[in-house]
Amino acid sequence: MTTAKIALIASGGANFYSIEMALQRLNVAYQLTNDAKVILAADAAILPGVGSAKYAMAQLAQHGLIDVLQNYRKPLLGICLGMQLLYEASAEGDVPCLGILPGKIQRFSSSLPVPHMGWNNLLLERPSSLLTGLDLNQEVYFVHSYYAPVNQVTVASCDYTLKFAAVVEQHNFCAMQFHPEKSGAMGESLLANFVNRVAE
Amino acid sequence: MIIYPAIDLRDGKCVRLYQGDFTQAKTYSHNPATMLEVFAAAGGQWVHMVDLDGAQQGQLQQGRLIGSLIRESKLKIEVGGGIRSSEDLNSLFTYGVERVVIGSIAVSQPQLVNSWLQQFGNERITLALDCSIATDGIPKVRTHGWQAHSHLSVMELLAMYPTIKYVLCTDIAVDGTLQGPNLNLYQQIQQAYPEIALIASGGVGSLADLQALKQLQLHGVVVGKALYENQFTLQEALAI
Repeated sequence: MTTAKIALIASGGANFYSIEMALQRLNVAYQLTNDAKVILAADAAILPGVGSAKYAMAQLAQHGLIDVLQNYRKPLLGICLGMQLLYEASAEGDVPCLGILPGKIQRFSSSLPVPHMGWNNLLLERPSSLLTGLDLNQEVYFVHSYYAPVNQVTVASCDYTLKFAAVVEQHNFCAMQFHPEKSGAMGESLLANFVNRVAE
Repeated sequence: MIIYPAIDLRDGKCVRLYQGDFTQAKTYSHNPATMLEVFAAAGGQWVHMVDLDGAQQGQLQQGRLIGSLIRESKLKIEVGGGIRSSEDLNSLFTYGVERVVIGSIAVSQPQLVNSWLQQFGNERITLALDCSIATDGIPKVRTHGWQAHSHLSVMELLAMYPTIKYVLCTDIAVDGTLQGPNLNLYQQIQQAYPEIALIASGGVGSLADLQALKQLQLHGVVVGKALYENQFTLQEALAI
């Protein structure tokens, strides 16, 4: 077990079962919390997210976490909606988000079946230690109706008629649109790469 | 708040189940047309109708009966139970059904149901979720045959429906018990998805329950057993 401790940020209504199970399998100490003090004291943070962007942002504001996350200096991993919250704004509820990453979250065009749901593979956009030792032809599990555009922070993209950001990284912030905690061995390796960063 | 009196049809009769259990069905009326007349006379506008045989068999069973009931009634009717294809929706709309209620297939095939929302519009479809509250307090979706392996939460499921308007949510632990609705559940959903027109279902046993739901500013509530067991009348409910 690493000595690192991860703050798993609880934004209401989400289902933390899978992510908790994955962290337990990786033998990582974590604490489910909304407390800024706990988040700042931890070695890293994970921002999962389920529900609507509008609600999640309101929850973060309610717990005084917007500044805390915007100024976070330790490794932070956003997952699914948690990734989308890192961008400037979301078309889901037309809400401003954390503005840590450049770009706006869009809805998939109405001609595509939503949600984009199921297994899909990643396309490398630029190298990152997050992808160390990974075979990008292995698929990961997506469920989402909104997406982030491919831009300078995109490490890997995914193709669902259009290319969207699947793994992103900027300084200490990284994020994944798919669910690593539901993506089998591939997802586990991605989470392990994040955890290893924390341990370093 | 719209009151949706419930008519659950089983083999042409009006029945109520206890906590969704088909072995605990009680027949209240052999003539659903009479029930519709009673609800209309009380000033009701809507009825929530379920084809229980259809729900159990995974295919609409009482479509013709439902069609003939609608022809004879002025009430607006939403219908669910075993709807599996866009043909089912088409035929129900042809019968004059106002909204079609989509249940378990919304969990198993969200892309298909999203395509129906696109095809028919979000005024014509109600998403119906059965849920139970897990030990960690998170409402988990329950469907026929999915109980064992679904960790999907209600919020996760709703995140798959970016254009949904009407959502009916039933806490199966209180359904048919008259013990009061799960107010906390509806509050949670409303906070997470304020744009959804939320319909409470399950547990209503008194006018005070309806008052509490109205205070939450829900779109509507389905009332079943309380009406059939004469806890209050539809007229009294509508006066709230």
